[in-house]
Amino acid sequence: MRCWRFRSRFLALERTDDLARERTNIGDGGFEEPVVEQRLDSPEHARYQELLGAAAVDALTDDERLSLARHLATCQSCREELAALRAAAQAFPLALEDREPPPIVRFRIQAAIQHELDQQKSTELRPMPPQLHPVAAAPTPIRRRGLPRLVPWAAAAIFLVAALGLLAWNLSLRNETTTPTSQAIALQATQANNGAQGILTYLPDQHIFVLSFDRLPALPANRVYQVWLIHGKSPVPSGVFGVGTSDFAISGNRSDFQTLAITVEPGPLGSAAPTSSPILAASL
Amino acid sequence: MVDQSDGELLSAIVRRDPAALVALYDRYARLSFALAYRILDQAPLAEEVVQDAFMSVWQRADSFDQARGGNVRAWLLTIVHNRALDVRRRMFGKRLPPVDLDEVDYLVSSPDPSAEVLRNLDRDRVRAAVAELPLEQRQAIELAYFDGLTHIEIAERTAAPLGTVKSRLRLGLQKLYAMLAFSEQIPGAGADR
Repeated sequence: MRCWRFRSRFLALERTDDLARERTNIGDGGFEEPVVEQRLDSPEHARYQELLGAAAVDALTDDERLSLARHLATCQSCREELAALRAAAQAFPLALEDREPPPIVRFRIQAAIQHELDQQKSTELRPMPPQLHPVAAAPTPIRRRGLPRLVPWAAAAIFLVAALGLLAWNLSLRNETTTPTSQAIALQATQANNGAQGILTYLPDQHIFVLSFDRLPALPANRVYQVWLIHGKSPVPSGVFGVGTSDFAISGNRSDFQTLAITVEPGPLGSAAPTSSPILAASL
Repeated sequence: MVDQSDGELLSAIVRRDPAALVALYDRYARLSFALAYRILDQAPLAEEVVQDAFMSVWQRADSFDQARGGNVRAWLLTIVHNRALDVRRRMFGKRLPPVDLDEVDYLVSSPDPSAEVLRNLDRDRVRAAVAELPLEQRQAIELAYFDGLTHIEIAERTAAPLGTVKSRLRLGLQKLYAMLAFSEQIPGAGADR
């Protein structure tokens, strides 16, 4: 068990169970300040030790966290233990089994990086792409406090597609030599159509459907447009987007589905199955 | 770029080399997505989190202090973890912790001696160690780590006294640390790789 540690001949030290760190300045030059470390046999210390597991996985309440932080300032034993428990907690996710994300994630990241690099290079030469709304997959925009940094994923992906030269860059990154191909598919208004019109393009090499809209009609509050890829009688929910969207990309293999349809669904996440008739549909 | 270490890739990312970021993605996308999906249980949201995390690495690579020997993989997973829990808390309308996410990511990038011991862990070894944990300890850690619950919420969820939950979290993590830091072999893990 660790003893009191002090480095000065003169101590002004109260023997209480108080955890406050005490400093005594004695004149100048020569004398070091005494450092009072936490007594390891105190009940206070034991109570804080009990919190270290929860602290390592951020499972404390705000008050407990602050209180523990004050204790840690005076207790090296707890600091060391917390560091070890945190390291173990950080190793925990390594036990998960791998899960393959859809290819479009890689594509979007590449597109966003290239978009950023291009913007940095030529903001004078090239006009900004039209303001596009990000994919509304989350209930509220995911903003970090202080530094809003939304990446316009839909915009970035379509920006890449629109400039075929960049698409070639994307392909060369993956060491492919095929030239980019695309297939236009007729997107037709159905009986329930509300005025929405658009163009559907399929990229067979990337298995990506790109929807482009000119002006999407306004929707009632709390409603979104939702895309479905339909196999036989089973519609697969394939993403939602809002009124301001010009372009929207989804991943899917054309040969797996017979139809693509767009409905209006309750927002912000849409529905598990369509609750209304399609407003636009395409035969694949 | 497949032969380069995480540190080398990160240095290339700092130099704005897109291929390096993509190489890092190819290396850790499946693990990152597994973590985001485990926390969020929804593929579209998990995809956004993974995208945001890699873009954060792209934008903040220079803030990761490699000179002090930090663990790139752990840093990336911490970013994914924080963002996924942030989304999850917003989904459930919970109060958010009073920290700036980006600050937390940066702080974690600073290594300390305990973390050094657990660098470059083999995943099979971690799996074997986690499997060795008593079920209640493992469950408590999972509820905190993947579901973002406080220990009070864990106590409610598992109908256990709060003191027991605190103890399970601490003992479980102590045991996990000891197995990973000190054991040459973990029962059931096979030959140490």
